[in-house]
Amino acid sequence: MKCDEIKLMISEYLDDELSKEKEIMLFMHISGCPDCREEFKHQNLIQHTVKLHQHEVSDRLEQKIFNSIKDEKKSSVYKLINSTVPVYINFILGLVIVIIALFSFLQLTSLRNDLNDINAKYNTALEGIQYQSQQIDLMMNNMPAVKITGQPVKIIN
Amino acid sequence: MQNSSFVDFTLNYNKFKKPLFNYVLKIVKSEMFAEDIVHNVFLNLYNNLSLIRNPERIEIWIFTTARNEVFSHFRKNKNKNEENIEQYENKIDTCNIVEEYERQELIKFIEIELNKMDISQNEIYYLKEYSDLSYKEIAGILDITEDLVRSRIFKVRQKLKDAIKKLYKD
Repeated sequence: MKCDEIKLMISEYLDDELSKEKEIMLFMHISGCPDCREEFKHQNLIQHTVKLHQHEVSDRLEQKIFNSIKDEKKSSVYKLINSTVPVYINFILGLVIVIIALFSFLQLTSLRNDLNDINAKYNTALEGIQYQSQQIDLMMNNMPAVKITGQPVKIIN
Repeated sequence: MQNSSFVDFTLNYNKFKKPLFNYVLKIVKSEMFAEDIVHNVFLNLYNNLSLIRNPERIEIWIFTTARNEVFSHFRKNKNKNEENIEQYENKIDTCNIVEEYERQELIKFIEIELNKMDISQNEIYYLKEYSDLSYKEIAGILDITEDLVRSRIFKVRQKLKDAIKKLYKD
């Protein structure tokens, strides 16, 4: 096996991507090849150094993150009350209110018309009654005088 | 419900804060921006925790989100980048007094070498070393093939090793 292939295998080994069978091949080669042994040592050292040398996350950042989350938690309660209603629902609600207003306005005008009709009917009926009563009056007054016969009615006090 | 999601979040936060912060820091090269990005990623995570479909692979979500944030940051701050690199390198000089001298020299050297490389190379390397994702997962995040991931990481390692060899010879 060529040393170039082994170098690639070393890289894979460091990344935990090498299969067990290949791992055995790798170590068998390394034990017999000083060049590749050196390569392995170097690569291992580099990886170890890079992984070991990591900056700590500052307390300031930590505090900032958790403060933001606290705010987020608080605001999520308000969100639940206020802003979880999507825009289209608000729009539909508005539309429904407008429709109801329009409907009741129409109802009102038709009621007013009905009322006028009833009023007119009432007036004509009233006129009719008045006319009839006039007619009756006239009839009554024009009747010939009738002679009243029989015993006069005694009025008992 | 609220509380259990908070516990979930805290667990994930503790697990990923360091690798995520370091990955972002190495790429944006500014502590201030890195903190902003990490802050946004975790806030996003908290808000979307219940929506993430596959909770076992949450690290993929985290690193993909972080990567998107990093690149949107680059788009916003195209011209400011140069000075940030300087700031960051000065910082390396002054911090970590506790660490032994040789290791400090080595890491400084490695970081400088990685900074010289193209972002397509060093990004993938940092992603691998800090996140511990598999080649396949990284391939998914970067939207490239697994073989390309393998060969890019290998190339970066070779470059680093060659540079270090050169350093020891000189």
